[in-house]
Amino acid sequence: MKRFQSLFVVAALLLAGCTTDPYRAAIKGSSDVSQAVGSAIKITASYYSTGVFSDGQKATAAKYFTIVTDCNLTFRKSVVDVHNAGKTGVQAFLPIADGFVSCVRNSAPVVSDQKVSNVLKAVDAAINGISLAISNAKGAQ
Amino acid sequence: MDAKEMEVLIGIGFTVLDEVIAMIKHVKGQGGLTTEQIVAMADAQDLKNREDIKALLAL
Repeated sequence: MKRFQSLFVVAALLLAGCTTDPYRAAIKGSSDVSQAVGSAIKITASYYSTGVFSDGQKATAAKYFTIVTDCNLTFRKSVVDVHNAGKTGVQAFLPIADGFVSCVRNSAPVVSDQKVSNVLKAVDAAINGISLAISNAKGAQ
Repeated sequence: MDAKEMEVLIGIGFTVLDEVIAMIKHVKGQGGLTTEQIVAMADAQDLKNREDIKALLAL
């Protein structure tokens, strides 16, 4: 089971690829998080329907997905607003990415269950990869 | 491991592999899109995620 989950996390890490500018890097990162959440929902449903996850584990994962989706929508809107305001540098977008990480950390349930935590790892990796992708973006400084 | 457990494990394995392939397709698919198109795609995915979370909770 852990091998499957590791493969899922590696795929999520691949999402943070090279991009052209900080704005595009931030938007791609946001889109990658959306995709990772979508995949994690399907895996959670599969775990639950096969009895791997209990009702409580499913509910914890669902709450986490809801919070990440809300924080991601806020993040993406802020990124578009900053872009529309004419800002182009890495420093304009990095604080927003940090805000996304804080938004999830401050609102999401504490997950001590290892099985649930493993499913959420790919989403976490995608969120944490946004700052890295923005920092590595080329283009305007 | 009995046959039932093996069946469950294989089922989960296929689900995870499907999602890994979906992620790779997602990354490759973004290459030819404008940033605005990626914004629209992410908005649509988030809407779908909200519906899928509701469906997950209803299972």
